[in-house]
Amino acid sequence: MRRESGAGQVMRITTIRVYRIRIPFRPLGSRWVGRNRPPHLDSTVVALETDRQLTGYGESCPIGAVYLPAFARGLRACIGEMAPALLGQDPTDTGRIYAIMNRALSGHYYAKAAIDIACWDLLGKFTGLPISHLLGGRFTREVPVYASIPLDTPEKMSETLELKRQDGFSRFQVKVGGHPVEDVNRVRRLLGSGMHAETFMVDANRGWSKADALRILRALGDADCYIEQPCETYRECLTVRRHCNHPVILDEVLDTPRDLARAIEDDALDGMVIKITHAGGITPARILRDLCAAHGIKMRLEDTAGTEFTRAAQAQLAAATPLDQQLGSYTFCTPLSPVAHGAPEYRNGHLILNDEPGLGIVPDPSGLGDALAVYGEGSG
Amino acid sequence: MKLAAISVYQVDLPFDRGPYRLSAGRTWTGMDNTVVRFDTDCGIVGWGESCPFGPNYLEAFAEGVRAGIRELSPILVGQDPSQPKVVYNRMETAMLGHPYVKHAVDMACWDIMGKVAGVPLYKLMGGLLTERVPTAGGLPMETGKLMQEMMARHRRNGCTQYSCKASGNAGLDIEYIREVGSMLHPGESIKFDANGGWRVDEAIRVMRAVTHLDLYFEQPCTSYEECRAVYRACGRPVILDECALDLPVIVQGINEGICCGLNLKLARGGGITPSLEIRNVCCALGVPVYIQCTGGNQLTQAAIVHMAHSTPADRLLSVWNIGDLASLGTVENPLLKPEQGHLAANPGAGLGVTPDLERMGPPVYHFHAP
Repeated sequence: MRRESGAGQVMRITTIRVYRIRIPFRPLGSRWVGRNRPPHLDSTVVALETDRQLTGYGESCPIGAVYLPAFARGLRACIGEMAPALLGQDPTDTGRIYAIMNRALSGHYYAKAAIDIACWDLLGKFTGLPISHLLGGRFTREVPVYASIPLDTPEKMSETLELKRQDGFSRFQVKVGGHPVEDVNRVRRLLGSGMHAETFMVDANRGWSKADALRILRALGDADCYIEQPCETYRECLTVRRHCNHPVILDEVLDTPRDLARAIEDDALDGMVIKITHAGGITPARILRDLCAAHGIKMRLEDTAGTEFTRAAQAQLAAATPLDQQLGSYTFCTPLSPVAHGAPEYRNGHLILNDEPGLGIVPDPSGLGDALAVYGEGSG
Repeated sequence: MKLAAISVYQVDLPFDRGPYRLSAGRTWTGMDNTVVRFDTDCGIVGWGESCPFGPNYLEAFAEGVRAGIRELSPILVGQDPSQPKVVYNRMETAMLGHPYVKHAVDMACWDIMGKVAGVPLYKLMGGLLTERVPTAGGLPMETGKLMQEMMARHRRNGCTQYSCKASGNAGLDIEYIREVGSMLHPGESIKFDANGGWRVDEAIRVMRAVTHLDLYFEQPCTSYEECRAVYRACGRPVILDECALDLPVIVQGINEGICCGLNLKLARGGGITPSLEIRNVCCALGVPVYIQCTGGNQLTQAAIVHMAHSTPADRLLSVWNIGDLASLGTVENPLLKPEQGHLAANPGAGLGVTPDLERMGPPVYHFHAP
């Protein structure tokens, strides 16, 4: 994509550095029963260095290789594939950079996400504005988050719920997806019956067959909860939605705005999990968000996994979204030592943002370690 | 930052080439434009405008813009205008509907946001994707010498896209479309805009009578359902305009396969904030857009061109050149005239154009923080 006159160019990408960060992995849900479970999460942080002495950061962290069709080695290979097309380009033209990436490489949005987030960080640093302001403004500095209750015995899950309540949470994701009878017992034990002031999202992570889902939902009767991603495929989830009294949240089966537009036509969902890196970064996640908002679909603006960079990116998007459209963001498992400073901190059920430009965070000098790969100037 | 004061100006914009006609006998001699000025407590000034074409085009009229801004002023003053989506949300809780009023407010907020960020607005809409913005050449609603001269003039200026208005009389329109449609050169395209003026049976007759010509049809009938019926009967590319009021109907049109293009009018959607969302969705779902407005002057033209700059070239059909309609400029630093049929934004921050206070006269309304 050639720029004819250099008009409007404010900076150029000179160097792309790729870092790897290991995060201890605590599996939460049924997705990992009988599958290859990674011992740790392998996160990738991309640094875009520019000729304006500004550096932008973005992160993408797949969960192993079987949560979604995304894995860390592949992600880093994608960055290498796209790097020649990105060097010399103006990262503050976020949409243009995305078009350049799409010309260089089909699909692989989870890798493009790291670049896209770094570009938004740079646009923020160049203009002096937080990303949430660049997205139209900040509805809150305190982003509500939910707590996930890992799959366990009903008793143990009940204890965890109590602890999370004491931590200030009022939005909960309850992991299920084991045996149907056990799942019904789990939900009954945690939720009882009747309406709640608290929000409960019962997440099967695709763990139910269609038949099991229909049995379980009938047995749950008037339990006041959302049902999240009950089955493996979109079609199965749609069938369940059509026979279900509970509001349905879809997550892993929706990838693109095209998927969401079809789901809207099918009346397939009441809530959507928008994982920023799964969507492909802030640029496409924002489109999913606007489609949801226009159709009264509640959102969880969050991500697959990651460190402070990912936590900051999701909090920026969530802060720029009206609160009544949100079901809550997430606080990630974090590495043993901080990778960056200034990331939104958890306090009483919320992530609290600062007012700094871009993502609002500064990498720790020793946190990123040595770059695994360097493209452009200084790549030796 | 806080909004400290709002001033409203009224400007008459007469049409240079005499009365402007649309289907169903709608005729106007000029536009009644409303310009708003936002003064902030830190000295930054933002400008916006809203200009309904005429009171019988959309559900919008010029006095309504001014009444609407009076209605909203008390809740707007004190807000942070550099956060347009937050201001928009506040407006929605204060007044239902009336997107053409919110459009003026939203434009002024975006102008301020751009000035705070220190960048031209297209940078905040996705950056520079289309450097030279193609304009469409409007043709008069009559055949013969005048139309031929106009087409030749547009062609000399570098236009490759033409836009024609249908009268709404199917028989006359068939003759007109046959003549104009056969004058195209290779590489040129043309759209016939009925502005909802045909019934379904009339639209089908027209489209069937000109099957040998390569054309777009814009808003053939009034409602979405009628346009869908026509599309399904004829399979000609249909551009949705007046009936495409919000994202749900646009998404429905795309899902049902009938929305082959969207005429995105900033004021109809309610300003830059909602129009940007619509633009992004259309681009993601493969639907090309015209970027236009219901009317206005250089502020509106600038907003259109910024949005067009930030639209991928393969999703952008063309923009409206408002100067074609009414040349009266009310800004100190107008966008440059189209060169080879293409426009570009001024490089300054925000909209990049500043109204000329002397030409606009005193404000008709002023409101400030107590």
